[in-house]
Amino acid sequence: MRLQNVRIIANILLLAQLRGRGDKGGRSFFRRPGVLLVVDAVVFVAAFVLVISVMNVVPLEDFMPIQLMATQLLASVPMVVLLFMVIYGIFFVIGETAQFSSSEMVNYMPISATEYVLASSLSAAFMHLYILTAVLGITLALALKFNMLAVWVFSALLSCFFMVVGGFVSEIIRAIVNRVSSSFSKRGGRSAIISRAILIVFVLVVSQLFFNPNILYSLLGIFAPQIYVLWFVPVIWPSIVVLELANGNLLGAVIFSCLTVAFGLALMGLGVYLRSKYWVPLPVTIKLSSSKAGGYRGRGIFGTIGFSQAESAIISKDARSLFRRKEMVRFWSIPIIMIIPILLTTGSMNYYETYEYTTMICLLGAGILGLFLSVMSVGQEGRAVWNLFSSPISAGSLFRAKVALPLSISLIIAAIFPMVFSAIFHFGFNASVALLTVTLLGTAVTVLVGCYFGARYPDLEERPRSSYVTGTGMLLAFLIAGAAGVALVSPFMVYAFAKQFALSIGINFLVALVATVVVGAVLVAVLFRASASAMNRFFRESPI
Amino acid sequence: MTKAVEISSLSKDFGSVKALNGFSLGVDEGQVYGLLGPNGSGKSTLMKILVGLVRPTSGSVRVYGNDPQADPIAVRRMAGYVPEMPRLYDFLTGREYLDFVADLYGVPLEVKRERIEHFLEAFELKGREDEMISGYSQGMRQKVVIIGALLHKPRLLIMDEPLNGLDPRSAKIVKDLLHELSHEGVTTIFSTHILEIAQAICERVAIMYRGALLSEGKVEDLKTAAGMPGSSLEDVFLKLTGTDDVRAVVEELVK
Repeated sequence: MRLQNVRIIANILLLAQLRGRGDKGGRSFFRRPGVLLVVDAVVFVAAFVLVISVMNVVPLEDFMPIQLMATQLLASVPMVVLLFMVIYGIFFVIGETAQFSSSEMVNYMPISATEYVLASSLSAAFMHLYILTAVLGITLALALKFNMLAVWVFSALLSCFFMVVGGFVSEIIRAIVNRVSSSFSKRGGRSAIISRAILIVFVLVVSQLFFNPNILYSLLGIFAPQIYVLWFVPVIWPSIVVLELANGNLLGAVIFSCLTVAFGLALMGLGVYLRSKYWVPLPVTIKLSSSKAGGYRGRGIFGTIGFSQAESAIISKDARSLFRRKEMVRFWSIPIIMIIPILLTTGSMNYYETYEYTTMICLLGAGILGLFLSVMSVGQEGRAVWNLFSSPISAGSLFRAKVALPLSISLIIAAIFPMVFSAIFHFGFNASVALLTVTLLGTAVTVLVGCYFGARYPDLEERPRSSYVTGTGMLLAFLIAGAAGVALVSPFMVYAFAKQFALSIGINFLVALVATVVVGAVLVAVLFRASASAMNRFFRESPI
Repeated sequence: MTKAVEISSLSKDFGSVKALNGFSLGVDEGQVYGLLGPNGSGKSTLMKILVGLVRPTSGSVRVYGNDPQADPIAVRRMAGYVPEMPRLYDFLTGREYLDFVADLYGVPLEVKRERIEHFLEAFELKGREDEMISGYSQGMRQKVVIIGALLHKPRLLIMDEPLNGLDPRSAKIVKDLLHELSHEGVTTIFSTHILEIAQAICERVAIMYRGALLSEGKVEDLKTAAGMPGSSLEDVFLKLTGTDDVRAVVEELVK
């Protein structure tokens, strides 16, 4: 193994990850490895200063539980870092261009699998180092406060090591998934696509729960006292090292440190073995049997409700894109991902808290779904957009087709969510009507906001990674959608939070309802015109 | 003879780069017309302007009397386009893609069914038509794009390097098809780097260089005009484009 090769490959892979994001093709100031290092340092210092400042105002009598929590945190960091890297690895596999951005260089250049695996893991670890520096900044402040600096040093070293080990695990996952999905897709056809979608949704839900602070805190509380019971589980070993050190047991710390290093090296060995055995990317052949005789599309559902043959074809194509492209699953799974936390955390809430939380979930679940589906509707065409530009369709037709699918899907969700939640949580009639109205209008508005910015700031590049809309476009879309959402809910917010005042100035439920509908209708009308005009502008000349 | 395409003083600038520089050309209806030129000579840009994908900086273009900028839909309705490096929707099957293209052009259900099946058979894609395009080879993708361009029976075919990646049988089918279609009045403008193909199937060719027209006419006329009547089209092309220093370059490379 040549370390020079490892350094060069790691640098290339890091640049690929940095430049694969954003809308400036890697020219942005923040997309340089050196700047990333500065950001990591700033995050470390900021986290440290923040916790020190908070600790300085915490009363002395509250220190005991915090010290206990600090020990648990120091012990848990390496494992949490490993889990984070594993989740990152899974997300990487989900991403469309995984095999391209990770590059196939190992297959045709004089680079060994060991060099590649090590370089890939190092680059992945470096890319996400800010997570580690944030946690280390927090734990250092706690360690200094509670005189556990030596423990912190070990925890930090083990965390850094496990960050790279997490990269090895990611490599293992990629190699296996590549191989398995190739074989599975060949045999599975349509069922392979469905299974893959279910798997991705499952992973997204688990990772969403993993990063939910309430749930994470509860899990740590259950799990931390059980660490010694699970001494035989390798991912627990670094936590045991930290706890042994905290308890002053050096021998135990040394034994488990050796085991931890051996575990990391074993994972690296496995990663290298799997890469050299399975990595060569094979073109996946997925055969789909035709669902109807002859296999040709008739008028379709949208055709029967007035859309033209071309519009209906574009809608049908986009619907297939949504369910067949694995990188699209993360967008339509938003409502599912939103529902899980509500089901797990509403038990302890009162009626009003539940209503507020439900409103937020309805608006985010349906509205964000609509925003995502519409904002990427143009950009998802990628380099294949020439198919539309060279065909005899008008900008108006393209706009109708591009708005129809996101609007239909998200409005269905916007109707179902409030009705189901109102039934489950026994909301009153007025509350249910308000929830339904706000969700339906809010969703229509966010879809149109998404259409506008999707057509105005499309990102049609596919390499090294598709993002469908530029960073600027996405940011503006979120800001405008948020502002529109606030405008939409404000009549009901005035009515709900300042009821006496509202009634005194003549705002009763009916007035609030009418005001919401009027605001919504105006927003829809304005945004409809704006997004149709943006599509017209986009369709004037092919951008590729 | 009716003019299918009339191009007059056409220029296109991409920043400081002049892709087309005062280019003029006329193509008669029913002709198979070849565009030749080294890389970067403006062939692809010219074709994109003809379909209305790119707006010219100045000059005028008429396709069967229609301006592709003013009325792109009318032009696209009668044209079939094969780009140089066609990107397809990988998540569709070959059949679904062709079905989609036919719908974009408004081809009725029974007609599209018949024509797609017919073309799939001819290009030996039968049996693979229900596989997702992500698993297709470059040649198979090229066949799918060519079929897509032919589905709606266009009056004008604009094909940028259409024979790229095709196996000999399919390439022969395409060449013969263009020949047959020209008898039915279909005009074809296509670019190629394979000069033998241009010589074999084009009634007229234009040699482009740095966005300008160097020479235009029948192959034999070009040879005579270049003072090389017994030479191959390749020799004429290299001489006209000033790229006949090939031997010296090769000798330098093998040193």
